[in-house]
Amino acid sequence: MATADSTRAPAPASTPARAAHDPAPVTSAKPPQPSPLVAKLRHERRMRWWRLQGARVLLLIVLICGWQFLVGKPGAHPWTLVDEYYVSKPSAIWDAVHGWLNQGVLFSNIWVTTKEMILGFAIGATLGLAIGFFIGTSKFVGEVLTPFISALYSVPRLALVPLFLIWFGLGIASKLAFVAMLVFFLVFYNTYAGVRDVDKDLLDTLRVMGARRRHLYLKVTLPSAMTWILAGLRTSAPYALVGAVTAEMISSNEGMGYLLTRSSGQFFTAGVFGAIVVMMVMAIAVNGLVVLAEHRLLSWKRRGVTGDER
Amino acid sequence: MSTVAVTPQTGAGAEELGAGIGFEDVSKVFVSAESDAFTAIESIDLTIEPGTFVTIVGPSGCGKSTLLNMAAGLLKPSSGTVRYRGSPVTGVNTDVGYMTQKDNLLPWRRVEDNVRLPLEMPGHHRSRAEKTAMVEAQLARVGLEKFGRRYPAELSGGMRKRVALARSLVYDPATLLMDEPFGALDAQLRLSLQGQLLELLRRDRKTVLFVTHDIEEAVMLADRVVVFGANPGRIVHVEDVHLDRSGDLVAARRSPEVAEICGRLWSMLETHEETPDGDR
Repeated sequence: MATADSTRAPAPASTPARAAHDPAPVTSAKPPQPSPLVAKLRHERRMRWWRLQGARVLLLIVLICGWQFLVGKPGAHPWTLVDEYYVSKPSAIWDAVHGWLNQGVLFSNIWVTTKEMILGFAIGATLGLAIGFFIGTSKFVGEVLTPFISALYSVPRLALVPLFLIWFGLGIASKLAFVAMLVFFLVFYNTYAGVRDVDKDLLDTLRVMGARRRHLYLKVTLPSAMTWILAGLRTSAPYALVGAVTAEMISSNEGMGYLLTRSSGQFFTAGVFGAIVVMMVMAIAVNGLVVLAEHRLLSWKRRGVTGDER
Repeated sequence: MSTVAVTPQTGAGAEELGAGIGFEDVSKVFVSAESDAFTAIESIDLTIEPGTFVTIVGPSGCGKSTLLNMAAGLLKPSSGTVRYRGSPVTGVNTDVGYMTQKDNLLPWRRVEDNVRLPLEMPGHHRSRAEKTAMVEAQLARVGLEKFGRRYPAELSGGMRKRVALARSLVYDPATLLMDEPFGALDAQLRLSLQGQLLELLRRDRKTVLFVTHDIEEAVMLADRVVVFGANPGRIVHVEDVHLDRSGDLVAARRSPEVAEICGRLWSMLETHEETPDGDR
């Protein structure tokens, strides 16, 4: 409770001082100075945010240190609990990744996987969008095809990889096919659902204004389905990574999935973890990009009645 | 009503006062898988003269909205003919402005872009700047000139209604079809919007077909009130109203004349409302 007291007690005294030297670039545009109460609440919010971030970083450090010091060769230290053969340790993982970097295999393999992800994602998303939109807008075709699509959807996706290997060979094409298929179904389903979900009254409103089919699609159906479509893209983006790595693990001589299976084959635990860590970073990057894109495309959704842009 | 204001900026006044709508022995039957066929309206004969304001009042489920949808060409009559400007309505009637209880604004567009929407349709050959000017002028007419950059979700219900009204008026349709446009608003706001609507119509004379379930609203606004009965929807009475609406709406509303008409229409609705099942 010491922290709570420290933020609360000096607040009335400190706010005028803070307002005086704070350039306040955000608030200076409209009201010249926030009231002491607003400033205090804002300050508390900011403090809470910092405490949150601090706790997260602390937890991360504790976890990594725990891992580093509780793992080792059996019996090396009294505090060694787990054999490093099984779980490796952060320093060894770092060495493994660093070693790949020095050998020049890290970025080349990341690039291979990224290429498969991006191209496969693009193919799958484009097809999913186009076909989902087409089937969603034409009622009859949609009704005819729905059971077929459900049947296809229920096929275990992984079972198709051997088929793709036969069709497209061992190179990048079979990986693209697998990634594209994973992405396709998610994007297709969401696009289809989004298009069907369009408010018919909005379409009628535009019809009375003289809209042709193309106007209805571009001005109502597509923007209205955008929330759904983006949800499909967002959920499928991580699957692009999963798909690329999975296909590489089954049959490949390059890419992160290959690096992973090769390390495992050599009983090189640090390498396995290293590959996993690299993939995690890639997944985080993908996720960040998706969030950024969504933030831009759906800016109208963040506007509430209060006009608060958040 | 006696004085028709001149509208310098539009050419619509030149031809005539709006356009007439005619319903000739129109019926509409809905068929669905679950229930039996449902007759929404039956044998409607109704002529709306160009430039008049006609309200349709009746209980819910009497097919008022169905009638409007047929005038807009969004629904086809099961039998009979709907005419607009003398010729049968076959496709969507793009000569009308259509306003419903739902404001039907596009939530992803700013207010000004919503009002601009009709001008983006084929047949509006104007420069970008001209369209912007039209949108601004229209927003100013409904008192929302400061809210063009907002999104619909940032406005109150009454403001959204005004945006929808501005959108219906910006392309100057000869006819307005209004389906309980002020239905979900509180009494004060309704009164104010009714006043604004009459004010706008005083400047641009239009044919208006206005559906409501509020008898007082029907009488206050219209040159002619058509009373509908339910199950099936049919015309039970037509009342011509001659009110002086140039002054204060609140005062006009309290006049004995209005009270008398409303009372009479009320009793008419009561006697015709013997059916147990209501909504459709």
